[in-house]
Amino acid sequence: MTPEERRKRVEHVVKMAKLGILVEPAYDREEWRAQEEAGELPEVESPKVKHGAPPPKAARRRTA
Amino acid sequence: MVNVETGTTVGRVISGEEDAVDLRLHVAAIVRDRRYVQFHTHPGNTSFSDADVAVLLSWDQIQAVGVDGTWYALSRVDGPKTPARKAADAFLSEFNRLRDAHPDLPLRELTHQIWLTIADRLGLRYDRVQRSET
Repeated sequence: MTPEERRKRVEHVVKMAKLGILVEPAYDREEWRAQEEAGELPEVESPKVKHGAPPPKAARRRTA
Repeated sequence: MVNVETGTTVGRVISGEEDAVDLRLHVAAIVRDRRYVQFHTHPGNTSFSDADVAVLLSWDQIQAVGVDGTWYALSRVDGPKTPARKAADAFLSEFNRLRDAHPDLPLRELTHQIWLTIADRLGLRYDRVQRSET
């Protein structure tokens, strides 16, 4: 990451944080995909899904 | 989000997107001088990010993240509040330094090491609790 990229990222996350929006970096999503491909993720229980793991899209959603 | 004094949940659970959560419903419910814990998930099990600390320092909430049995907690300690911009920049600076020095370090550990290094000087308390394999 160049100094300019870093400055822009800081400006962006702080601006969004002050608005109340949490914008996570892409590396967490990439880590999630890597762990999924490696079969390292445990099954996720979801109250919306009665049987089996939730679909990948739902599992990737963040909650707060 | 939970009110620290009463233990009651504030607002409903918010479903976000892959890379973002709109916390404005929770922010709108914040009452001045009360303390809250804001929970959210990190699907990749990494520790706090630059964006997390920016939210923490913008809204005075304690934040915690729990995924796959690992819990992370980040909170302010008494004293002058560090500007969100300075904290986010400190995170990215340490992220770049560690990534260059240890390119093979998993992101879960890399982000954990960042907070072990920078939390104190930003006036923050940082904890990680991992599920024991029993």
